Amino acid sequence: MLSLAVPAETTPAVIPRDEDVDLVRAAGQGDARAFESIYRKHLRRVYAVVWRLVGGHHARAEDLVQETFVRAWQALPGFRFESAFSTWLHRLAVNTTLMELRSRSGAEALETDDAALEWQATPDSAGRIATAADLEKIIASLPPRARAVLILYDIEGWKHEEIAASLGMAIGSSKAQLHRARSLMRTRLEGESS
Amino acid sequence: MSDHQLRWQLRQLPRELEPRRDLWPGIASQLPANNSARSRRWPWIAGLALAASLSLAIGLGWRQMEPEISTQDSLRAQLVQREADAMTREYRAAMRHFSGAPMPEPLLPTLLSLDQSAIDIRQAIADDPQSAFLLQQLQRTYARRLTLTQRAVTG
Repeated sequence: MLSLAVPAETTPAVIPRDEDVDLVRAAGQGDARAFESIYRKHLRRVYAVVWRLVGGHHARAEDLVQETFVRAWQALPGFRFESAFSTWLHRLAVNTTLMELRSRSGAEALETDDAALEWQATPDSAGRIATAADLEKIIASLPPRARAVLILYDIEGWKHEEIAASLGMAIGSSKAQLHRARSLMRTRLEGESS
Repeated sequence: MSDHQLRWQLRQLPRELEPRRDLWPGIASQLPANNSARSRRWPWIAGLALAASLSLAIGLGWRQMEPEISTQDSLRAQLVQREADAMTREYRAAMRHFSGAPMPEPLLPTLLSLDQSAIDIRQAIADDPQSAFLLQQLQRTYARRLTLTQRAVTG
């Protein structure tokens, strides 16, 4: 089962001072201007992961990012700085998006907004050029759960345990979805380059 | 292409993207209402927590004195009952802020279950009026019910 609850953190008791701490405290006490500063600072990072998770749909990503920040505002008074604020916000965005994906349960359209893709070239192992646009397009075309696991594991650096908890699946299922996603990525990348 | 090579390519993708429009106005329009809800909600929950803590402390203190002062049992029972009544009054006053608000249907079974739990705990307190533990359970149940209600109303 998906959960919107902020995951329990496993960070040690002593953590470096969070550079957001003053803004977060002020926003937690109702300072909307401080919260806007938080929004401006973290928007692009949050938007990137949400946009990828929903398969490159700008309108859905925008709605979900708005929902994420509204939920963050509501939850800020309870934030206890037991983890970095950016980590907390990022996980809130991911969980909000996964909840929406689950509610769609397979009704998701898979088209990608090509206009948004940046054509940044990166060489692949065979010397071919896999552009950022190629990668983004193929990620967006993956089945939603496989896509989510690939994004969270390979791009965002989550652990299988964390992904499994957020997606409400067994750790073994997370690994299997990653294997499936990577296989599809390879097949489709070869199709793009041929 | 190996897993490592694929992952390396994926890691090169931009970690930040700019949305097509400014999302702040849509967010800001929802903040004042949340802020007022916040000012109603948190002091109440904090008050409940304080009441439960005090009750628990009182209860533990009495437990230590029990062998010597058994005649205080009835006084303790009265205080626990009084705390439960006060907690219930505060809870009902807080819930009145949300009266008439529609609740999402999937949430109804949970809310009903919490309501029934509160009734059961109050009955248990009436049967065993010296139990500070039950008072704490009542506080948790009310706090949970209020939090879910508030979340459902404010989205």
